[in-house]
Amino acid sequence: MSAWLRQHRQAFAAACRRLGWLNALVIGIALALPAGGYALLESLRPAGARLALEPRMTLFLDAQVRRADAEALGKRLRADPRIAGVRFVPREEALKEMSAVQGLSEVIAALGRNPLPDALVVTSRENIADELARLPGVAHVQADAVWARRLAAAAAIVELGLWLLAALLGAGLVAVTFNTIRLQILTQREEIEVSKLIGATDAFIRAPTTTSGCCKASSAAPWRSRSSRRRSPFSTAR
Amino acid sequence: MVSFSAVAKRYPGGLQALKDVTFSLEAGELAFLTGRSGAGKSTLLKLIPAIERPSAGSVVVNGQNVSALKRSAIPYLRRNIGLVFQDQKLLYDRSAYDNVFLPLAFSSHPPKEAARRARAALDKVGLLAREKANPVQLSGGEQQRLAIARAVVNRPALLVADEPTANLDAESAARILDIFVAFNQVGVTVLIATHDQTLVARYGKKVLHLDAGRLS
Repeated sequence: MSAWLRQHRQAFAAACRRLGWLNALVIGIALALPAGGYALLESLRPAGARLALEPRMTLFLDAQVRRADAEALGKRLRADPRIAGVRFVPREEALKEMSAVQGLSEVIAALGRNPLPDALVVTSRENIADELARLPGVAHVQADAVWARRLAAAAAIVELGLWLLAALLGAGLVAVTFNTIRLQILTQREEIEVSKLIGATDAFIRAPTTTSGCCKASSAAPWRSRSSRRRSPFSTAR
Repeated sequence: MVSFSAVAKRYPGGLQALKDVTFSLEAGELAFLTGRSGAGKSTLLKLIPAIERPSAGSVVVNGQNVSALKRSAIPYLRRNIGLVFQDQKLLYDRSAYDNVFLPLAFSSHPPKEAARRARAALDKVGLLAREKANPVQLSGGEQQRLAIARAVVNRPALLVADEPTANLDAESAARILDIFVAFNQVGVTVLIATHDQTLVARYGKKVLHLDAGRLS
């Protein structure tokens, strides 16, 4: 047992001696790039999610539409299975909300009358803005979810890109590591050959290589954690 | 200690290196294996530590049937055989001491005992003073002695040497053979392959003569 431990300690020491600086750097960067990108994307995602991803539309009604007709329209929309929710915003309430905004109350007071129309805020499961615009009494539809959906689509593309980058760098990493091990074995070829001839087991010959693999993987970790620290400005922005 | 019965070795490609070789070597015996270049001496020696496997017949070393040995058991067989190779196979990236230490690195000796053994082996071949030298700094005879030190550092019961005196002057060659004889005197079984008949005659030991793959 103690002999086994001693051999592995020696293998570890040998692996540390052979561990190249550049090797650790290559592995570290290859792991840090996709990991850092993913961390950045993850910290941006909550910001995107806050802007409703379900298309939400505001239907501004004609000024002439009577309150009863407006409420009837709201009821009709609520019955539509494609529509998740309808909120009726009377013009008085809209005015009240607006006057609460700093500096606007004076402007509204100066106007002397309520310039705002009644509105229906519709949360829909599908994009039916065009259809809603054609409804009688609807003056204008504002689909405020369009750019949020674009953001979501862009985020999906970036995420896909990151996965591709990770796969590419991962494959590169495997190739680089294989090549490093191959070169290492080539430089130690004589030693391995002689060792085998005088009674070294395969496990003994393999030990420095496996140990150096573990060393490399763990030596790459500081680079990786450094990159994840880099994302902190984004995560505090949440 | 070593027993060959009806051993044949045919290399891929059809070269018949050994034909119907039968002999045995008792424990504590010293024997010379002679024959011209290409007679099959190296092949015969390679069968003992299972570097090569026989095509037919059986090779028994120290009670173990080498021809039927599992691959995983071969390292343990080799640790009990001291091998001196024709081309020495020294490692030129390390000192003489580290060369001798190599077999001890994978044996289970405690470090102090291992260091003591390595120095003792160097001392036996008269190279203790040169333990820090790189093999390239050593003369041909010294390199051969270093190879012997590495072969005996694990105190094997059997010592097999392939042309240990080739390319050496008569004096160095005699010194090398004296070292083998000294090991034989303390009970080690020794088998030495050589093409130098005059040297063999001087010792008056058992001689196995190979001629085109057959013992005669």
